[in-house]
Amino acid sequence: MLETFNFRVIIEYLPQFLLGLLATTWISLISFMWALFIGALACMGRLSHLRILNVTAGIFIEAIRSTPLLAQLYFFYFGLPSLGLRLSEYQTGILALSLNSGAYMAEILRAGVQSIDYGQIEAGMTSGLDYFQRLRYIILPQAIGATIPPLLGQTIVLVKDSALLSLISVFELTRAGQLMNSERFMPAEGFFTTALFYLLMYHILKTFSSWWRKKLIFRPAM
Amino acid sequence: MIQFTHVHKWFGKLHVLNDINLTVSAGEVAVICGPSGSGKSTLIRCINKLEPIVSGEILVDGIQVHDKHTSLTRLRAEIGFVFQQFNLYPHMTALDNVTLAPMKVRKTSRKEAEESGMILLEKVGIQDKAKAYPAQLSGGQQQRVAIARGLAMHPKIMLFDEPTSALDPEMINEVLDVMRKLANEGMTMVVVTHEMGFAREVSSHIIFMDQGQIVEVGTPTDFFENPKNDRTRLFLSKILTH
Amino acid sequence: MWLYYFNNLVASFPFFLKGVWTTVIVSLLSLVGGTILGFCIGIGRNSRIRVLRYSLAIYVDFMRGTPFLVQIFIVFFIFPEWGIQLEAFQAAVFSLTLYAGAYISEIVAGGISTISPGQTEAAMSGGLNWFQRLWFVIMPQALRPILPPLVGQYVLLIKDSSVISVIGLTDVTRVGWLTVQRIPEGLMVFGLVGILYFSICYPLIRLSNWFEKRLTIEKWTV
Repeated sequence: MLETFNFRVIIEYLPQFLLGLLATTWISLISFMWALFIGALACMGRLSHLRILNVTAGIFIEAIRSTPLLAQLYFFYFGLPSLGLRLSEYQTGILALSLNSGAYMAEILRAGVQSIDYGQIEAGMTSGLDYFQRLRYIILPQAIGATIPPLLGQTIVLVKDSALLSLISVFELTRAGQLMNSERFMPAEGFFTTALFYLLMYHILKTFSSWWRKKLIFRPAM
Repeated sequence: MIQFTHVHKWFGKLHVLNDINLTVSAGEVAVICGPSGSGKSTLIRCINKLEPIVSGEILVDGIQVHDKHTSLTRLRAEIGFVFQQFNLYPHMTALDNVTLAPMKVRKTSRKEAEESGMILLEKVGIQDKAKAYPAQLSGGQQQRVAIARGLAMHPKIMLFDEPTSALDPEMINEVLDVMRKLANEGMTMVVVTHEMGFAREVSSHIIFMDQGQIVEVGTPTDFFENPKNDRTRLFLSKILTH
Repeated sequence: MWLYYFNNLVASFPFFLKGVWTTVIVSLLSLVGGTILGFCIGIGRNSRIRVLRYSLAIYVDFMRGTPFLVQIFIVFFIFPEWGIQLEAFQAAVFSLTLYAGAYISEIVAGGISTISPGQTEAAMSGGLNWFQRLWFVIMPQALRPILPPLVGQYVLLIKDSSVISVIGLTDVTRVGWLTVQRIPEGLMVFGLVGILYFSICYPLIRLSNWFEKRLTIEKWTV
């Protein structure tokens, strides 16, 4: 089969794939930052003692986690216009991705914070540290170290999820492959090249995750 | 019964077994001792091929252990192994632990296997715990079940890899008693241990290992009273002044 | 106007139920197939045969490093080129099974790795062959760490099944997509879609939590 693989066409379309790769990277980056923000808010809501905040955050997280991203994407894509909100496909896509990953990140952050042994906080209290000092020196450093690997995992999911944006006509990596297929009728070349680029991003992120994990081991025990 | 000839093993650059030559005849009890890292655990694990060797030859009852044509199932049926960490199957009762191998490897019927199993459990003094799970047993009891499990296939040889090292002091004797009993019945045994009292009493000969080599071999009397090698003397002085 | 659409939606409910049925059937078939595949692969990753280990690792890497959407495109568009004509339903079940198998294999391999090597050594010393070791000693113990994440993975896979809507299979998401063309109230339509997915997924999420609790009170640990 490989002999019939038309490499010349792939090279011809390479600029488009690279643009798609760039678009995917950019979309993922923006969504990641928003998701982290949303996740942090939802996490604080979930951990709050105020029942209304707790419950609202809980409903948000459960609703997102029990429904597919595609349904959420269509929900916003088809639903927002009837509310009078005319967002571009690109904006809609980022909205859906950010909310979706944000809910998952909220849970990751919550697990990270709750994994810190309460005894540590007590030790901080008895040493005379106030709330913010405890937060800064005891809680945050440990929580961040513990949550980076699962957050990176969620980032990998985010990058793959971004492929769904092609279905609402956003130009990104998968769309580049689809265009090559619809213009040249070469699905093998088109989609395998697409797959290859995703694998590239996947391995870069995985390598970063391993590097971070190794870095953690050398940290002095807290 | 067991014969090591010019056996060598490397772990990367580490020369774990250095020209091991050893003979254990039927009915003998060989005790292997030495400082940690001396290779004694590795040596005993080579006998039933839990560890491979790089060069040399190990014969067990005439069978070449490390030949790739040797049937491991047949070989291991003749050798019972008792681990330092017991390694009992936690999801099975004591009796089931003992009967698993005979039923699946020798295809013995459940009735027969359980009968023989109960006899073995009686032998190690734990028949009333036959239906208990390992988690419900003390360390000493678990290790005795492990010995019964090792005996389940009626092997010709029993190997013990530091059987009492993971036990609390008050439970060591119950295990050693079982081992003494086995020795007196004429079982061929190779035991890696630090229990020198046991060694002096029961062994036919004691093998001292250090840094992968056999430094000295001798009968208990010779070994403890007239150690020939300086390293042996050094080791004994450390271990006997407790 | 809104009420008109609402009545229309209620009238379309049977159509949605058909979508639920499709989602359930496709998910069920893929989960069963994926579980069988996943166990085989997870066990195979521990094999002594190097070629097997490496090829399985590559397979799992590909399935996890690329978006499911791209995988479906590959199966649906490329197979015809190789002479294999698959209906949408067959392509969907096939892709989802392969995808599920890869993720489940990671859970299975992870569960197996929690079993101390001493267990394998004890079984080897008893003379048991690799199959007997696996069946009587390793697997019964490995099921405990495998079951909760496995059910969690089932939930994820049911959500991922929504992607099969792109090749025209009438699952819940596709019914929503088709309906919203007639009833341009995206919020209502996809709100319903969300509720339907929720009712499928939520019981499973509860099951996974129950498993986690129950399997911590094991009969062989005191």
